[in-house]
This record gives sequence, structure tokens and C-alpha cells, in this order.
Amino acid sequence: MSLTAWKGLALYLGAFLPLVYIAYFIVPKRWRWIVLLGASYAFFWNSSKILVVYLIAATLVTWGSGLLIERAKNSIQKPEGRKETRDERKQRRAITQKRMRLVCTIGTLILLGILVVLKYGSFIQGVFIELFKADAKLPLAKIALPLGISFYTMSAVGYVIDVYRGKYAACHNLGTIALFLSFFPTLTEGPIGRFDELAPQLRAGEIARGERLVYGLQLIVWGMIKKIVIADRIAPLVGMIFTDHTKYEGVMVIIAAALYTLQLYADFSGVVDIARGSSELCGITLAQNFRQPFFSKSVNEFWRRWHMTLGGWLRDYVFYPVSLSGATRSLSTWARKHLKGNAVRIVPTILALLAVWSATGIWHGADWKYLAYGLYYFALVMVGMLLEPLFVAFFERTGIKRDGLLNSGIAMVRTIALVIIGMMLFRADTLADFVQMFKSIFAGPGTEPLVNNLWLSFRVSDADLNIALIGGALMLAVDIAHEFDIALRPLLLRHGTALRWAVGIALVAFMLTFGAYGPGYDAIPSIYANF
Amino acid sequence: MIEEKKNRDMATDAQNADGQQPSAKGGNSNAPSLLHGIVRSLGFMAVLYAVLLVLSAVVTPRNPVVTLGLHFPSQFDYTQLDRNSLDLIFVGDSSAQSSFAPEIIEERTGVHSYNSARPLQKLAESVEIADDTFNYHHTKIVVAETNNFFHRTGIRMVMQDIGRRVCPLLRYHNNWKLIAGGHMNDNPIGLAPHMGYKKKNHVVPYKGGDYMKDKGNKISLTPIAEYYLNDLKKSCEEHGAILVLVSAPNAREFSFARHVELARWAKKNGVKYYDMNMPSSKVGIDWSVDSRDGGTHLNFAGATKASNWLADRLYADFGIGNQPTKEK
Repeated sequence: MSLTAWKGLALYLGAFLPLVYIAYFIVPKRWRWIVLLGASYAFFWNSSKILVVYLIAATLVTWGSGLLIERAKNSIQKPEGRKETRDERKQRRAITQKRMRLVCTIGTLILLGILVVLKYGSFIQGVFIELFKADAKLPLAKIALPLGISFYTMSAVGYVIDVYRGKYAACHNLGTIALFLSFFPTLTEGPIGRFDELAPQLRAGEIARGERLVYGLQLIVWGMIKKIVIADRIAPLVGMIFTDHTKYEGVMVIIAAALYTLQLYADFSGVVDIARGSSELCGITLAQNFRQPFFSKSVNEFWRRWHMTLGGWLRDYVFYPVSLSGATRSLSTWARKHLKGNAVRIVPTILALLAVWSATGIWHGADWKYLAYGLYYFALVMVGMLLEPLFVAFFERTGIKRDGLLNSGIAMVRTIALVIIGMMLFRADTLADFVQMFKSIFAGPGTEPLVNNLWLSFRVSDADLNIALIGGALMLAVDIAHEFDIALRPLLLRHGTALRWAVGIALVAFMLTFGAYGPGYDAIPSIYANF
Repeated sequence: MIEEKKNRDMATDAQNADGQQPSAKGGNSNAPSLLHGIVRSLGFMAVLYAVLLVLSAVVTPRNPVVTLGLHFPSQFDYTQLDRNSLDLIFVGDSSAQSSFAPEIIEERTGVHSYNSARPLQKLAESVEIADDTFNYHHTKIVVAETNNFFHRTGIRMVMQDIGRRVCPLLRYHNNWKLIAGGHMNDNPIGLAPHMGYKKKNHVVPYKGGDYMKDKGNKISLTPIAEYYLNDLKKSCEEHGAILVLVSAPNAREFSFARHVELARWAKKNGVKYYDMNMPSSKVGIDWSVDSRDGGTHLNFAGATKASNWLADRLYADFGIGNQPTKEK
């Protein structure tokens, strides 16, 4: 059972979640977190079995690191009976800071080390063997990945660093840390939780009733529509074109990349909606992970709206530390001395941006194409920064309003085009495949399969495509409403029962009638579950 | 400065989140009473269920025609045969589908049968199909092949079974494509060849050892499997049919432990059980020539032996059919 494919989702929504909800409801408030902890470990065990030891190890390291950081902080007492001098205070703080940093570094390295060995070990081995032309087997290639390791490791590292930074106190309760890292709705695809936001809710034992319960259920249904009506209907078609990409050129390649973009958005945001809806039933609000990303006017903005919890994590735990590092300060000093104009502003950010975008790419998987995916965005951001003075001059001279309707529209279309190219790279099996596909866009119109309907096989009929596009249009309509700050669910709640019930029933009926599930349909694993 | 920016970002995010779901915090302030909520929820569920039943009626095939909404439609082809023309029905997974050839059985004893098995057919589906045949035929014997008694008999099977029965939309929902194209009453495939039996001639020998050796291990039917088997037995009794359990030759999956467990259940419930894997059964399977995939499934030569053997036993034990003809 998992949240990633219709077979797992059916079991999750039909049995697991109702049982958890009932148990959560009937157990006294103060014990409810134990129900969640038990359910989370059962959920984890169901998909990863003995690999639960990695989760337990991460939990113990996270918990222990927090306590040791706290201990290091209080390791030198202030002198008793007299006031501490400034030098003594400074010295005491320097020593405790050093000890705290040591614990934080060790804890973080252990957590990341487990992730690196399990997720990237085989890749790194392969690189070494390739470099030194060694004839060796890859013992790490057969290591299985526990469910959600990328997600819970990031939450764990965030906690350890936050405790080190003094953002909040270390948590003494091992159970709370265990639940924070294993909370079942977030295990599969996040969103990546922050301890200070999530832990108090997990321990509060609140239960959703009334409109909050309705919101939770609505989110689940909406997520299911995205996943099984839109994403899973498109998946075979996208897979067919990307697998046999050499047969296609021109417009067909563009259509495949655009459909994959829709598939990924519907798939990932759908599963996250199911996770958020499930949490809402237990009175727990998870962080938002998407905010109408396709209304972005730049790739920077896109990444502030897409997978927001990953972007936020990288900002806090990669971008800021690298920005404040000695290397960046040296680079900044050098730039001020030797460069002029825009370059003085740009050069010092290079290191931090490179680190963030490389991490973004590599986080998605152990493959060169993912690193290239991250660097693609790094290049776009750098080009944007370099061209910024030209844009400013252009708008000043022409008098065109930069935030005007026309320019905003052009900027959105440009961003979507750049994102679709990025998605092509993301989906292609290898870097070479991406290059071949990208070139083939310009090889010819490639409209023949489109005109003759040859590209629609039995498994993906025009009916499938039409339903997926209707679903996509529905998603777009909802995103437009949200972009204009129209909160649809509260709006619906203000209307009479008849309309609310009609909408709810229509959505469930739409999902059950047009969903790609049941006999004859493969269970299509969610894309981000692999990361 | 960093903290300021972080706080600002967090505040913005919170604003955005609230813009989309202002209920998230404090949503319980206007919460209705529990009873009120339960009554409303039940009302909603009732209306929803009524709508789903209407949609189920729309997508469910009116005639028992073969449609895209059915997985492996050949398993339902007993609905297309002349009414009350079947004496025997086979249910089970690929092990059954590849082992029992109705045409061979008819030639041997004149018994008219249909093989409604299919790859990965779950026990719940087997029970449902056996039960459904009584709506079309006065079936005298239901042969349940035992391989799927030990596969996927968990909670997921129960859920799927309940879903199919309670809301046919879950099973036939894909027929919206046929309705949209005006092909709802078409029969694009036609009657399955060989009365549902899957005929394969090629040979891949089984090279393993004696798979029926007693290794001292124990295997048990799950309570869910036993529940469905009891259900099947009850259904057969209600319709005047005889339930017969048969373990088809299967060198890779069958074991002595399975035989012991099946014999236990059959004895306890007064059901006839044939195990073609036991050397004492003398089916005559030669694993060097009678398997198509190295011991899991029989080829046509193996199926001929198994079908003739079964026809003879059914005649001998239940008097079904005519005096067996000699093998050609």
C-alpha cells in the first residue's frame, strides 16, 4: 500500500485511512499521537518492511543530535557568585558554539551519509569505476531504498540545524521526533515538514469536524482526480512517445513534453493534496507545496511556487549558509575590487546559486541528467540576472509597463516554454536522449502522426486524451480562481446545501467514472515517489 | 536579516495558504454537533450512492455482451452460450485455464463444460463467476482449481469484491468510452476459442526434483480464503450443484503442504478433492514434454491428459456424462 498508484490508493483510502481516523477519533486526545505513530510505522512497514531500521536510525540520530546540541550549549556554566566578564562570556560562547557545531555537523553528516550511501552509492561507485576503468561489481547497486528517505532525511536535517541555530529548543520526547519523521501522509511525497510547524499539531490530538472535515475530504477527492483522471490517463501516451522518441519530431515532441509537464503537475500535486487532505482529517495542516506555478513570470518565481517545501528547505539550509560562508565573502570582496556594474552584484551569488540548483537537481536522483536539470535552471537564472540591466533599459526607453498585462502574458508564456524544456530533460531517459529530442523539434513539422491519429494506440484513445484535457482545464480553472484570490471552498461553503452537495457528488462521480483504474489499467507509480 | 526574510517568507506563505484554505486554522469554530454532522454525512452518502447506482446502471452492459469494461472477457462467455447448456464450469487462475480443455472433456464423456478461469483470477472472482453461472445454466458440477486459494486472498481482494458488488460503476466505469463512441452493444471480440481453454503447444520441460516431497512445513488457508470457499460451497448447495476442488499439475507452485491443507479443508467440509500432483493419482504427466513454461502451466499435451483424467473421475465418482471413450 502506498499513495502512489491506484491499487495502493484504493487500499489506503478504502481501509487504512478510515481505520486510522476511527481509532484517532475514539482514543482520548492525549493518546492520539500514539495512534498516528503506530499507523505511520505500519504504513512504512507495509512498503519497506525491514528497511524500517533506517527510519529508526534516522530518528535516533535526530533525537540524539538535538539533545547533544542542547547539552553542548549548557556545557559550560556561568561563574557562580560573581558577574561573568565580557571576555569570559565570549570565550564560553565560542567553546559552546564550537561543540554545538561539531554535534550538528556529525548529526547532519550521519543523516546525509545514510541518504548518500543508499540513494547515490551505486551512482558514485559507477562514476569511480568509469573514471578508473576498474572491472568491479557494484555491491551498492542492489540496496533497496526505504520509503520517503529523501523527504524524512530533509526534515531530520532541518530539525538538527534549527536546534543548532537556536530557532527552537531540542525535543526530549523520542516519540514526537519519531512521529515527526514518519508521519504517514508525508512519507511518500512530502511535503517536507518543519518541526516547529508540524510537531505541535501532531501532539495536539485535534480532530477535524464540520467544515474542516469537509475540506479534508474535498482535498482528497481533488487529489484523486488529478492523479487518476489526469496524470494516469496521460502517462501511457507520454511514455510511448518518450520511449520511442526517435520516431517523432517537431510538434509531436513539443506535445509530449507539454503533456508530461501536465502529467507531472497533476501527479505530484494530486498526491500531495491527498496527503494534505488525510492530515486535515486528523486536524493537522501540512505546508502548501504548490501555488499556481504556471502563472509564474520567471523561472525563479516558478520555483517559489513549485515544490515550495523543497525550495524553502534549500533556501534555509543551503542558500543562506553558502551565502554567508567565507568563500562567498572572499568572492564578494574580490568582485568589489576587480569588477564593475552589474557583475559586482551577480558574482557573489554564483556560489550559493550553484549549490542550490545542483542540490535541486541531484535531490531528484542519482543521474547526470538530474544534475543537468538543476544546472539548466542555474544557467537560466544567471542569464536572467545578466540581462536584467538590458531589460530595465528597454522598458525605460520604450515606456512599456513591465508589469502590464501584455508583458506579464509574454513572461508567463516564456516561463512555461522554459519549464517545458526543463521537463523534457527531466523525463528523458538519458542526457543524450534529451539532446536528440531537443534537436528533433527543429527537424521538421512532425504533424503526420497527429493528422493521421497514428499516435493514439488502443490504450490511449482520443477519448482518454479528451478526458485528461478536460481534467487539465478544470485544474487550470481552479488555479485561475486561486491566482485571483478566490478561495473556492469557503465560497462553496457559503452557498446552500444543494449546491455544495451537487459539486461534491459531481466530483466523486467524475473521479469514479473517468479515473484510469481497475481491470485493464496498470498501476502507475507516482513520479515523485521515486525520489 | 536572514531571520527577517525568513519570517517575511513564512508570513507570505501563510497568507497564500490561508487565501486558499482559510479553514485550516480555527476551522472547528463553527463545527456543528457530532450528531448533526453524522446525520448530514449519512444524507450526503445516501445521495451520492444513489447517483453512483444510476451511473452504474448506465455503464453496466444490458445484455451479457463482451465489452471493454470487462477484464479478460472470455471468462464471462458462459453468458453467451445457449441457456442451460452447461453441465460443468471451471473457475480459477491460469493454472486452471491451461489445464482443462472443455472440448477434450466433451469428446471423452460428452460433458458440456466451459473454462471461466483467467490469469490472476482471484478467489473472490471465482466465487462470483461460479455463482453467476447459475443464472444461466443448471450447472451440475463446479470445479474450483486450487492455485488461487493461496494467492492474494487478503483485505485488498475483499475490498475489490465488495466494491464490485456494491457499486458496479467501479467495475464497468471504463464503458464510458463505448457509450461515447456509440458502441455499447457491440461485441468486438466474439466467443472465446476452445471454450475458454488457453491452448499452447510448445514445450519447456520442468527440470526440478520431486516437488511433492514432504518437507515438514505447514501452509494454511487464510480466514478470508476459507470464508469465500464456504460461500462457494453454500452457493453450490443452494443450486443443487456439486463443488469439486482440483489441484492441477503445477510443479513450481504446488507442494505437499498445500495438499495437506486442502485435504483438511475438503474433509472438514465434505467436499470432493482431487490432487493431480500426488503420484498416486496417476494422471500421467511427463514433465519433460507436458509443460509449456518449465513446470507452472501445462501445454496442450499435458492438458489433454489432465482433462481426460478429470472426465474419467467425474464419471466414476458422480456419474456425470457417458462412459469414457478410449484415448486416441
